[in-house]
Amino acid sequence: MEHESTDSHVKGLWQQQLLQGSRMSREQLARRSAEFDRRILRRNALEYGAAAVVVAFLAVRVWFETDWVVRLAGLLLMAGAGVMAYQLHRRTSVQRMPTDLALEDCISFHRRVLERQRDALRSVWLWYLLPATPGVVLLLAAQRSARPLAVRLAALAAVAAFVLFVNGRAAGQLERAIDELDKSVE
Amino acid sequence: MPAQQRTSAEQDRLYAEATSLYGAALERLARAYEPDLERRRDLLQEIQLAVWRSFAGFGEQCSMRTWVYRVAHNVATSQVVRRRGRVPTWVSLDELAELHGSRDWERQFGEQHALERLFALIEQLRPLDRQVIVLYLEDTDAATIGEITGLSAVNVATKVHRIKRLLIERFRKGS
Repeated sequence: MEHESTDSHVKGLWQQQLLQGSRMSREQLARRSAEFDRRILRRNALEYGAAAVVVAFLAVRVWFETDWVVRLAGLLLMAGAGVMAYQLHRRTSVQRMPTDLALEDCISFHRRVLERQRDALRSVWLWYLLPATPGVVLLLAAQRSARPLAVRLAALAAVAAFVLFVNGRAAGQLERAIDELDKSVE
Repeated sequence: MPAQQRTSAEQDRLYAEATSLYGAALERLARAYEPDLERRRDLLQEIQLAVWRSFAGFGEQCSMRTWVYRVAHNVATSQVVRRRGRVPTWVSLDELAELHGSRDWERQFGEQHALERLFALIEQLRPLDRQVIVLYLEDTDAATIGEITGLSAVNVATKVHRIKRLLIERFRKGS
């Protein structure tokens, strides 16, 4: 009896909260929907725009470069920048198909969000480091430097290892969050 | 059942019906996910927008209630997952029950309004447990809770039992 009265009391507290009663009108919804679509377009334009600037810069350098090794490195870097921009967009852009939000139950949705983030981080060597590697290595090989090539390549490898470590650790945290989710439904 | 494409007028009609039936519940849900007033307003608008847009493909694959709550909880979950690094660590219902009786809890919340204590409790919970307790407080039946969250009937029953025990422990003492 006491349990039921506490239950009713708490539910009553919850359901009788003072609310602002705010509902968006049709016009406000349409406006906000258009704002959202514009924001996505702007974000996409920024991502691809940044890659386009890099590619344009490299194209100019390649055009005026006389050393064929450096030219080749420039071309490889241009290709790499394009691949990275596309993969970045494909793997990390906000995917909000409104209908999908209702077709998936909450656990499946949450799991998918976490998995997508985890997979993007785990595969960073493939879509972020690998596309840039051929061009960077060739550029280092073509450069005249007091430091031996082996030392410069080792420094490059150290940077890559650090990037992999940081992303791997973040992926691990997401994996633990997925495990927590799975345990809570056992 | 494949999603059908609704006309704009149908989409608006469904949205009006949904906000009439569940508008207040959505506002309470937003409060459960977002204590900050400005961000809560933003979240509520995002939820309303997502619900409206989703109705373009509503083909009665489930009840309107399930549809609306799934959209709302999924939108809110997306937001809290994005902000995960900036919020305190969440706990499960079991872990929260173990915190009961600590002097800190009594000292911190002894004098506050019961509703604020309820929100403080909910804010500590992991997304899935938060979804269940919010749906429970809205008098959602166990089958619908399962349909919305994806939990099995057994898991829903277990979580509801833990919620009831938790509420009795926390609100019997405080009242």
